[in-house]
Amino acid sequence: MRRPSLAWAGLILLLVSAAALSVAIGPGGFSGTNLGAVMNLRLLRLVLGVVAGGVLAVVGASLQGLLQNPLADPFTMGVASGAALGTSLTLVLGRTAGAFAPVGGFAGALATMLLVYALARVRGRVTVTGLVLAGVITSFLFSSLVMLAMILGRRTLGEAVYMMMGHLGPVFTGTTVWIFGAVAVLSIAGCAWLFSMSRSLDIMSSGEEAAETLGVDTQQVTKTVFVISSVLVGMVVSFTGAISFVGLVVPHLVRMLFGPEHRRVLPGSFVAGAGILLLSDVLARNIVPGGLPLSIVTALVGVPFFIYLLRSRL
Amino acid sequence: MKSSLGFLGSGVRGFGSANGLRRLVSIFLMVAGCGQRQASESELRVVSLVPSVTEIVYAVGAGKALVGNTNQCSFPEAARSAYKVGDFMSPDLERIVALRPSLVFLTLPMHRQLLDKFAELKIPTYVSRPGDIEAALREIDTVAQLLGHRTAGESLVAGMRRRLDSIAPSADTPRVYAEISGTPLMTAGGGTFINELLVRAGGRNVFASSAQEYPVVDPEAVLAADPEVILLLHPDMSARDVAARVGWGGISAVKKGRIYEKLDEDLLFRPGPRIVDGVVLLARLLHSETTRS
Repeated sequence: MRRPSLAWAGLILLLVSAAALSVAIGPGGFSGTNLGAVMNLRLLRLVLGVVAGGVLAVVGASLQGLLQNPLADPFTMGVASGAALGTSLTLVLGRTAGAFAPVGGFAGALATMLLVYALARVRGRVTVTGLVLAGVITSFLFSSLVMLAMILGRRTLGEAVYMMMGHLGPVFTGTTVWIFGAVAVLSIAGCAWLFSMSRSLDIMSSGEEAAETLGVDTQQVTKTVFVISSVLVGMVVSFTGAISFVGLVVPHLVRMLFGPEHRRVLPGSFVAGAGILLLSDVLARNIVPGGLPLSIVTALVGVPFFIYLLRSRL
Repeated sequence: MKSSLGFLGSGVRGFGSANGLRRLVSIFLMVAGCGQRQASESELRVVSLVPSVTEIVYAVGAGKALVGNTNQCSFPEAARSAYKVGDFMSPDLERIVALRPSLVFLTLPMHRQLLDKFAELKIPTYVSRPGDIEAALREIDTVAQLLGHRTAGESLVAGMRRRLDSIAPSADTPRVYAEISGTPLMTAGGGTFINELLVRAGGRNVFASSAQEYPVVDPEAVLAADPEVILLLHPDMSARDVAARVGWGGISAVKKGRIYEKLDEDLLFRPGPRIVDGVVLLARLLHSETTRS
C-alpha cells in the first residue's frame, strides 16, 4: 500500500482505540469508591505502554535498518535480557540501589549490545545468522543469570518471571513515578534523535560500503544508534521487564504500509508499537484473573509472524 | 469441601501405599508404643521435613524422638539445634537415609519424589497436608498417636478447641487484604488455610472468590476492593512503603493507618499447634479499633 495518509489514519485509529480500551477495561471495574485512583493507575499504565511499545518498535526498526538485518530487535539481540539482568542486579543490591534500576538496565543493555555485536562479527562481517545466533545464546545465558540473581537475592520467583517476560503493572511509589516521568521524557527525546538520523539509516540499509562512498560516517552512525538504543531499551526494561516480539514484528508491518524510508518507518513504528503493546496488555490483564506476563500474548502473535519472515524473506 | 482434600492428602505410606492403611499402621505403631513403651521410644527415630509437624512433635512431648528436621523448622527453640537435613523445599535424601529413620513426616506437592524414594527404601512415611483448621487438629491427634503420645495429643487438641471456641464472633467483619508478596502483588485466595484463619478471626478476605490459592493481583483490583485492613505477610516491605504506593492513599486501610507489618508469619502459615495463636493475633488486629474505643 502506498497511500501514507490512509495508513497514518489507520495507525492512529489503532492507537486511540487501544488507549480507550486500556483505560475503560480493567480488573478494578468502572465504579466503586476508589474510581478516581483506579483511573489514575490506568492512565499511568497507558503512558508506560505507549512509551514501552513505541521505544521497542523504534529501536527494532533502527537496528534492522542499521544492520541490514530483518531479524534484529532488542529481544532477539539479547539486549532486552541484558537490560533485565542489569535491572535485577540493581534491585538485588538493595532499596537505594533499586532507584537506579534504569541506569542498571542501560548498562546491561549497552554491554550486551557490544558483546553480541563482537560475537557476531566474523572476519569483519556481521551476518544475519551470526547476529541472531549470538543474540539467542546471550539471551539464554542472561535469562539464567536473571533467575540466579533473583534467587540469590531472595526475591520471589514471580518477580523473576515478570522481569523475563514483561508486564505493564509495576507498583509505583512517590519516588519511582518521578523517575518514570524522567524516563518517559528521555524516551521521547531518544526516539526523536533516532528519527533525526533517518537519512543516514536509509543509506546504511543499502549496505555499508555504499554508505561510505556516499559520505556517511558509518562508524559514527553505528555507535550513536547502539548507544541510544541501549539507553532506551535499558530504561524501558527496568520498568516493564523484557517484552518480546514488539520490536521485531512492528517495523515489518509498518514497512508494508509505508515502504522502507525511515522518516516514515520510525514514527509509524512508534505509533503502531504503542497501539499493539496496549492491545496486548488489555488482553494479558483481562483474560486471566491477576493477569498474564505480557510476552505470552506478544509471542502468540509474534511467533507466527516470525516464522513467516523466516520462510519468505530470508 | 476443603477438608476432604486434606484428608486425601494425608495418610501413612511405607507399609503399603493406600490411604485406608493409615489407621491400621497407626494402630500398629500405637500397639508397639503402648506394649513396650521404653523400648519403642528409644527405637523411634523420627525425621520431620515439615515445620508445622516439627512443632507438633515438640508440643506433644516427643522431641527426643526427633533425629532430624529442616532449616525452616525454627520453633520451638529446641528444633533449631536439631540435626538439619536441608531446606524444606529441597531436603537431602542421603542425609535422611543416613539417619536410619523409623518414620518420616513430609508434605505434598513439595516432597513427591522423596515419597516414592522412601516407598522403595521401605521407610515409613506420613504425609501431612491439612486443608483446614479441623484437619489440622485431627492431624495433631494422629501425629501424637504415631509417636506414642496419644494422651498428650488429646489434651493439646482439647485445649486448642476450648481456646478457639472462646473467641467470640464479632458483629463487624472488616474487609482484609492479606499481601504475601509485594512484587508482583500476591495474596491468598478462598481455598487457603490463612483465609480460614481470617474468617475465624472475624474478617472478610477481599480476594476470597479467587479460584487460585495464591493469585497475583492487579494493583487496581486492590483499590477497587477498598480493604479496611491490610496485612503484610512478607518481610521486604514496610507499612510506610505500602502507604507510599501511587494511588493507594484513598484505600480505607491506608487512610485509617491500619496496615500491619512484621507479623509472625509462622503463626498464619503453619497448620500446627500455634494456629489458635494465629487466630487470636488476627482477631486482635482486625478488631483493635473496637477494643480501643
